[in-house]
Amino acid sequence: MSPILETKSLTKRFGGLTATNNLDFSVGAGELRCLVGPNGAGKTTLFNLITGKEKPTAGEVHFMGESISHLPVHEITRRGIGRKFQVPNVYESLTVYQNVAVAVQHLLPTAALFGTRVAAEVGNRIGAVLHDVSLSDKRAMAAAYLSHGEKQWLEIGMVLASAPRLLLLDEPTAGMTSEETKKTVRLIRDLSARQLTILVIGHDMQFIRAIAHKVTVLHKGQIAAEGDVGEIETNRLVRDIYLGKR
Amino acid sequence: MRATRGLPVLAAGALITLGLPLIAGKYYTELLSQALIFGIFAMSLDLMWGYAGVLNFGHAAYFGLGGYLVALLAREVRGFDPSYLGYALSVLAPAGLAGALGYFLFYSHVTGVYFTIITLVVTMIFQLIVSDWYWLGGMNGLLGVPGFVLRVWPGLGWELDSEVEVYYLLLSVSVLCYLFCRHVVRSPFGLVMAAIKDNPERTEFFGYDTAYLTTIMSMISAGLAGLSGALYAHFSGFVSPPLFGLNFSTDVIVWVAVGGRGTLVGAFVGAVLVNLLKAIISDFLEVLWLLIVGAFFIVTVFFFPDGIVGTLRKLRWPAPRSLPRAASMREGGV
Repeated sequence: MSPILETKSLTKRFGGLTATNNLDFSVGAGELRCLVGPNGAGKTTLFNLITGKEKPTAGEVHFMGESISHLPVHEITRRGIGRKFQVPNVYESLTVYQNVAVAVQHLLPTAALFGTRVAAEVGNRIGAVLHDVSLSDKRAMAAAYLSHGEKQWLEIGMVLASAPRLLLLDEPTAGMTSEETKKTVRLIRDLSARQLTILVIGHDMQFIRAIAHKVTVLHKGQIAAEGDVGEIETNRLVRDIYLGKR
Repeated sequence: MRATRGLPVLAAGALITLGLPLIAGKYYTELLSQALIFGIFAMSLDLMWGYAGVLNFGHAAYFGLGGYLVALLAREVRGFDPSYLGYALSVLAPAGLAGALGYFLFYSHVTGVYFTIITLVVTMIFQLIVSDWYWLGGMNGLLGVPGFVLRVWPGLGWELDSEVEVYYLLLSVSVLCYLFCRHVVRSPFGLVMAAIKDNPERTEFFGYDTAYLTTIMSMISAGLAGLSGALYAHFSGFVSPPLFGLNFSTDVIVWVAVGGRGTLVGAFVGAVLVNLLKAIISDFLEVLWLLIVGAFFIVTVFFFPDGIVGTLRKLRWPAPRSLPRAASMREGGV
């Protein structure tokens, strides 16, 4: 598997704090990878560096063989990196349908934004995404009125609607009920089966066990361990990290 | 569904606006004509304030620029009627200025109150320039701008010299401007603007260049404001430094707030109502009228924060249906 995403000696310092430390990390095309680590391990910072929200102090991020570190956020997104934030980040004042429409429309050329009608395929795509995240019957509802779990799904749906090649999910099941978590696991596995490359930040071992083949453990901005879920769970070093012994 | 429900309102509105000059008399017809120009101006502010969430405190700069360009052309150009050239320039120059401001401000992530303060300074600079530069008329302004002429060919034109003709011309222009703005806010572009207003970061993460799109919206808004300034110059026959003034910039904010931000129609309702109120009250209360108009503004904003039109719409279509209605919502089968 050739890597779709690679970081090369990636470093990010915030004042005296090194959040990402000379990190060489890669994800293969079509892979479903889990990123774990204690608080402050640098998981979200890594997402920020990949998506261009933060610029690296040193090193580079390569996506599909090209360096993307110098690009602004919207350019990186246009190259095919979609991101779901940790806290649900949807448009509360817009309807569920409009939320997804915003995500789909970025595929249109800018001139088409000023047209009168939205192309039929855009409408079909929105419908398909709403079906995927089970929100079809709430399409006319303002996103503000959705439950926490539904907002999480809506945001996942929006990111899917933007047709990414690489999907970044930051704790997608945070705050979900166990029933909702199960449904999310099914959704993620389903997406992975469709050859989408997915990188998930997780906290809950049960969730990680349910979805991932390969797990990367971050600690102090570096890779502490990498391997199958089983290997990671029995790894002494990883246990020590989580118990705060290292 | 919605179209049929809105039909009686539309019919009543058409009847009133078309019939008014027949009963209003010269003075009030002229007052209404001026209020229509101010309505276009207020609507241009609403595009930015109501639909992009960016308040421009120096919106009069675009109005004044449009007006002064028309007045200067009328004075300097000989041999042909420069009014169409004037209209074109009065749209393009303010749009260009807004583009330049957007390039320096939105691209540097200067938004919110910082943007508001800078726009305030911009209009004050303009006011200083026109007041102190003799070529631009100084404090006296520029006089002798010709009235409206519908010219179809050089030498062949129709001068609108009665106040009723002028009113109907301005009413038609207002309707066209309104339809244009409605198209803008209901297009996919309008939906993206609503998204940027709601959550700029999320929108950037969907691949939108938010600074670029906000600048485009700001240019549309400025062009329309410039057009209203040009109409004003032809309507009143002169332009003067207060057109760039802070007072005038504040007035237009009041009109939009009273009528209802983010409704487009509200801009006209606010402009007409406040100007009518001013005229009527100042007739018999020469000193106190400003206080009363001010109190009216405070009461409206305090008790009806959505403005008159916004409040009426909420009564008619309670939440969540009173959400911004963009093109894609119609597709959603609402």
